[in-house]
Amino acid sequence: MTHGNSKKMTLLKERLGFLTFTIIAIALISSCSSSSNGSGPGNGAGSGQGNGAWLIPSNEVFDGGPGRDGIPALLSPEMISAAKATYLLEQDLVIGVRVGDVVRAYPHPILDWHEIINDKIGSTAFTVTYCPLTGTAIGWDRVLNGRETTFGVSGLLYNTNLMPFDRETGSVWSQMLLKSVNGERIGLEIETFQMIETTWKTFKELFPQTAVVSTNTGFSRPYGSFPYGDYKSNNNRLLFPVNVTDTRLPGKDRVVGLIVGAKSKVYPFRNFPDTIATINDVVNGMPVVVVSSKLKNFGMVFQRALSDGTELTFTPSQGSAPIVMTDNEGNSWDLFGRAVSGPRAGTELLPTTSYIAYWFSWSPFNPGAAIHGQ
Amino acid sequence: MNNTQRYCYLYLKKILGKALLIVLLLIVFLLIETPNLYAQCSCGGPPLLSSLESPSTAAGVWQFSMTTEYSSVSDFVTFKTELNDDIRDRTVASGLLQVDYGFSDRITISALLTFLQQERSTSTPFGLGGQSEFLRTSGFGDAMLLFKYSLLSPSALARTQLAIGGGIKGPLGSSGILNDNNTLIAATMQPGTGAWDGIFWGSATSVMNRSLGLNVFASATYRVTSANNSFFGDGLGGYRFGNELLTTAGAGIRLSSRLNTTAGLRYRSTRIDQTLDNPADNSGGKWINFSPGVNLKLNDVISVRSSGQIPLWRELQGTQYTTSYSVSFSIFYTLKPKSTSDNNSILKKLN
Repeated sequence: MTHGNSKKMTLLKERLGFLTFTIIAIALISSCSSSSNGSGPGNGAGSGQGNGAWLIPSNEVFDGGPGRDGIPALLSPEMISAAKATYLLEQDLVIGVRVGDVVRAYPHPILDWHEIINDKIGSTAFTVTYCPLTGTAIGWDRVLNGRETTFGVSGLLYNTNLMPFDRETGSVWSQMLLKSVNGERIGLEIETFQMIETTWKTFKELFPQTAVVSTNTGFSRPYGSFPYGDYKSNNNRLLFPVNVTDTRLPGKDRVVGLIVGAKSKVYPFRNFPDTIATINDVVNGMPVVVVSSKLKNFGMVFQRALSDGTELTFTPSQGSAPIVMTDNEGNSWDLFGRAVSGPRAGTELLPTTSYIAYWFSWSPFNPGAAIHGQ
Repeated sequence: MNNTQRYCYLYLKKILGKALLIVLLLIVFLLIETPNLYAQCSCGGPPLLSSLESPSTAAGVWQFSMTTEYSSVSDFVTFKTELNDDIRDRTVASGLLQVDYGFSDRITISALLTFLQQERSTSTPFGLGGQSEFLRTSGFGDAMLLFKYSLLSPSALARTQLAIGGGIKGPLGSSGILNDNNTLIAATMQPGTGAWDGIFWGSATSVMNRSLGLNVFASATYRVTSANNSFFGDGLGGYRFGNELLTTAGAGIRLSSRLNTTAGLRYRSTRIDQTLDNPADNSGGKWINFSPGVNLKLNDVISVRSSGQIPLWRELQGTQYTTSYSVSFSIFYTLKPKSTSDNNSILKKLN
């Protein structure tokens, strides 16, 4: 082979080599290409996470990261007696529910990792929804249009608040708007029921017969460790945007919020005395009583008018658990709003749409709320 | 001391000197890690830094490489403890195109382009069975431009190469992809970061035994990140990935004239992410992976490489999903300049 032919062969080898590289490179790049359709520098495709119109601005709904069911909700969790719940600390917060004479506690250490617990007591199906980022625990009736469903965590957030989805239709809901905001059930409002949120120590004192969710949930989670660092106490720390900022109170102050029609009013924990206290108030024409204690860490709001129209006035009762208040007729009431003794023993006060929340989260959903004491 | 003893002494001294040099280089870069260097969720993101381990390129030489990497991010870990969880699966597949050019004997310019496909799927809990959600994002990721400088005088006979460099990573990739329901997908699932970052890089290789084809190598890369201030929308706040340190050290040995194998340890440390200028809990961490690889030289200009990463140790901030394993395949093409004698013969023919 002559010198010229040798050079030609070398050049040919280089070009063939470059061509081979280019072909392989294109093939490798193509193997990474998405099968989903779209335009622009990138695209995304998902399945079944709600579709169509939103009742709220969709550009204010954010993917929290885990995805739908990435934070697994619980269904009919294992319950244990209070004596066996040694994993709970006295100051751990729990959510208390009573149906008939059955009392159950759903602790924050469990709810921090699951956010939704679907349960049933007798024939009463309900869902305990809890958002650790807004500090809101709200009880939902999970019988919708006569059909029992279960709720799960969609992984989406609106004003940094939990957005459940119902498993029957896949519709997305807003926990604090109390309605479906996307999907087949858009606009449907949820029926709520009142739950107690207080410390494990207080709840045990008031309701020693309570059962409590076991850590044997079927999931491996570090129950007892809070997933969000100093979030509860750091007033300047948010993880997702909110569309309204109201600085009349520090952001992470806990308040008992009450919604009556188009009006709302909050009762800040910082204003509660250490001892049990009652506030007989009228909000948007509804007579209500707020029974609270900063030391025992609870705040509940009930209607003062009974179903027969009688309007009661309440005074606090100290040191006689489960009794927390008495009325002008001589009835004694517990923290679930049931008359424990007196002429109306067994009667239950009418509930209100009320729950505890961090102050910063109240305003985006209830702008212009009145603040008790201001 | 006789000649044999003197030879052994000098040989050992040379080997130890090179080993010490590489260890010192590693220590220098490891010292960059600040006391509060937390870790980041190993949730995908542009895998640009892992491809910067190659040394600088000789003058006039073009090197093209194409790498595909697949990572499974399915281990659910709290601090150091792996939890039993099969709720979520996450994969990251990436393509990296890298072009290196030897600008001079000492200066090399490297450019990297990326393409990412990320998938996230969750299963329905409490025994209902089936898949709850499937999400896929894909698109071009961020790009990087790096300048490398050889500290030691380059030579075909040189046993040791030592280079440092710096560059920038630009937000070429999309960071605002929406889901089917018009909601913004999480930052960790976006192909791009939407932010400019600074890159600092160093690399050292040394031939320990030419006849055995035994060499040692080390590299370190540090990424200083900035925030994508409009990630959540104009005026709503941003997201910032944590600063990242990546160091690799290992050895390679030639098995035949065309085949050699490498084994190394890779240490990665990332700071916690920031969302709305606040720490994004459950992100950031430290990892040590074992990284084996095989290189095959197909001919004078094309070679291929296959490698993987297996976690050996990790310490994460909070509770998060992290890489279970990753595998990659690369193809390299080298384009060398024509020799001087070739140029002279061409000039003679032209004349």
